[in-house]
Amino acid sequence: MRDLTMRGCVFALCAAVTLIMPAQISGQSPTTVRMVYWPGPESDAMRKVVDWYNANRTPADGTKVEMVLFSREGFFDKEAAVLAARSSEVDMVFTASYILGRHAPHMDSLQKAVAASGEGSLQIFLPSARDSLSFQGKPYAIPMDVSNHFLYYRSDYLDRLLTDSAWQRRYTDIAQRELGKALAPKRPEDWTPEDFVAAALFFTKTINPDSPTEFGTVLQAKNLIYNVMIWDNFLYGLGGSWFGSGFQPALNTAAAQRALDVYVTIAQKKATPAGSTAYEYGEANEAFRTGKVAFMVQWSAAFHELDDKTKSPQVAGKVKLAPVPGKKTHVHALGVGISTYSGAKAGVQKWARFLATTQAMRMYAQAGGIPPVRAALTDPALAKSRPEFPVIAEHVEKYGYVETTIAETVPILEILAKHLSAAWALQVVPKTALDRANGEIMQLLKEKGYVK
Amino acid sequence: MAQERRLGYAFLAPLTLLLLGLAVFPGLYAYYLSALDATLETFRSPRFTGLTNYVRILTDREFYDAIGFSLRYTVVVVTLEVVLGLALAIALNRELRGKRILISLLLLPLMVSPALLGIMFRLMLNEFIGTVSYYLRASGFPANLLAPPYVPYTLMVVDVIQWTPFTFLILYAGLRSIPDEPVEAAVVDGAGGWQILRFVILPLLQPLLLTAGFLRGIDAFKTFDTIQVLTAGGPGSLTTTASIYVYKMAFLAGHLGRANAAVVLLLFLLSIPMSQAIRHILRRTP
Repeated sequence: MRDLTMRGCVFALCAAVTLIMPAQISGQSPTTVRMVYWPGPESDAMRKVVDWYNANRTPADGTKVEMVLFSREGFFDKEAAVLAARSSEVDMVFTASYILGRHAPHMDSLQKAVAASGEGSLQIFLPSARDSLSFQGKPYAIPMDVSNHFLYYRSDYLDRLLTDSAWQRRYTDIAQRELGKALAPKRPEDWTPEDFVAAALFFTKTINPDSPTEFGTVLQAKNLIYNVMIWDNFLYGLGGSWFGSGFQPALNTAAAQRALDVYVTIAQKKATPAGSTAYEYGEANEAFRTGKVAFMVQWSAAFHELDDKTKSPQVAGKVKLAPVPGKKTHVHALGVGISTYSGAKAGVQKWARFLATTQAMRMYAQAGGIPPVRAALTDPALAKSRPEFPVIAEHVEKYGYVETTIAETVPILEILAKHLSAAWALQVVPKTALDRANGEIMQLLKEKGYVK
Repeated sequence: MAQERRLGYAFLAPLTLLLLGLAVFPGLYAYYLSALDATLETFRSPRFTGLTNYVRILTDREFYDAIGFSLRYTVVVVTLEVVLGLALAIALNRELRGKRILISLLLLPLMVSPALLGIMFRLMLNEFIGTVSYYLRASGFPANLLAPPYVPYTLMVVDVIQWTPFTFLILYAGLRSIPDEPVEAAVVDGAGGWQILRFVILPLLQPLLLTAGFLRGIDAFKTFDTIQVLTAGGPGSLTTTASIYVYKMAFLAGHLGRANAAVVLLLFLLSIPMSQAIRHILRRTP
């Protein structure tokens, strides 16, 4: 009886091995690549690309992609903790230009992972977006979503300003009275920061009682690093930058002073809502959407909702885009790169090469993403539903700049947010704010060895 | 007897382990990190820097500003919350129609998470779409309560709205537990309402008043969520609390070592008044 039982077990084992082995040999289970993303429109768009890849390319590539979503709040802190722990659970890292310097020490450069040119290479992406995800001269992430700024303006009001002679006379009078210069109205496409201030005053009811809007513009002046990125456009547009030679901070220069004066003058003259000191993206959109302001500098993502008749009935159809006065736009990208600690590098490289194709990026754009790929952004079919896409491509290409991608980018932004927001709120005089910011950045960079 | 003792240890073990894991270990680790040049990038291989982080924090003007704001904030909100909580408790300590519904409504702000409350107030205080701003404007008051002159007071009011129900709840329970006899005796002796409150109710409620004030004081001092959502500590560092200072030092500036040094310093600074307060409360508690 015991013999029989033993024989039965051996037979069952052999049968199982015979049945399972061929399946194992013929259909090796694909390598799973785990890619971290944050939830929102970006992950919705990426989901479509991932699903398509898994359905169509997995059998040939032997790679299956799994998207892991961390919650958006404190996303990069959580991801940094995972990387600092050298976890192999994550194969692809989700990163952004301003945080890349912190992630890059835990990531592989993409130089060998993607093709050198053509499809499957980083050459398909717009140069400034590509640069925004490079660290110490090497590319570390594939740019998936690009963000930049525009001047959003009410075409009905600005068009009238260019045709109504009474408005034009008053504009010049107000500029003379408030700014000491007899400026004439210009097309928003040609504005300098000075024209931006003059127009803001003209469209402010307390200065011009006939203004159709209560305020000329709305500044995003909350103590936030993203608001510094908007102000940076004026700094760079006026010829300044964060650094002089090397990494020598250059925040106490004449250009920085003029850039800060743009905000301070607007705040002093009450040409922006009083609550601007607590404003960020959402509040600025509300001010524009409710017809309280004539124009604003805002992130590219806002156009889609401000020009939507259901979401913004008061302004939809009257929103136009122009370059930020000074013709510089901050560019940052969200992207994905390879974790040094990944145990599935071969699979990750196949997926990365697929992402660096026009086909994948078109798919991503159709699903709601904003990939920095000219061919995708200027696709005529897509431009019908997203008319801002070709403008994004043009502005990122022509006016885009990247502040820096060093590991200290966020601390520098934080220092600037703290000191500039005090000046924007008229709590500190501009020179003091700039001197303090410059001093703190200098100290930080000295500690980190960037400056001797 | 020995078996009983062993059983006692066995019952205590899970909680002790939990405390060691969740309180003692992180506490000791914070001390350890505070002596290192630990950042998010060098987390695995930080350098020992001794007291450097402490020196940096102690010479940082913003650290003192943050403590100053937290202290002012705490004193104001705790005072208001205890006084209003007591007033509400007294007002509702009688037979009233719909009292249960009223109490349930009063407790609603307590159920909302502070971050969510911050978002709600961000909407309500928005000068274009906010209900509060609308009525303020209609009444001829400044419509934006998040503008610099008003913002610290606005934040305090938001805290008072959220946490007064907490003090009310404690004091109401205390009032309900006061026996009728002392009050009746005072009435017989000819005491008026104010005298009964001053000489009978308040002394009997004192331990609970102190407890409510103490608990709210600890919580108010470490306020983070609501203020982070509404102002992120700005403009400048006007509304930066000690917690926001530590958060920014750790996650925006990336100095985990310095952030931990700040935490240790805060613990030392607060340990003296806290131990005094606990001793005082225990002495007053029957």
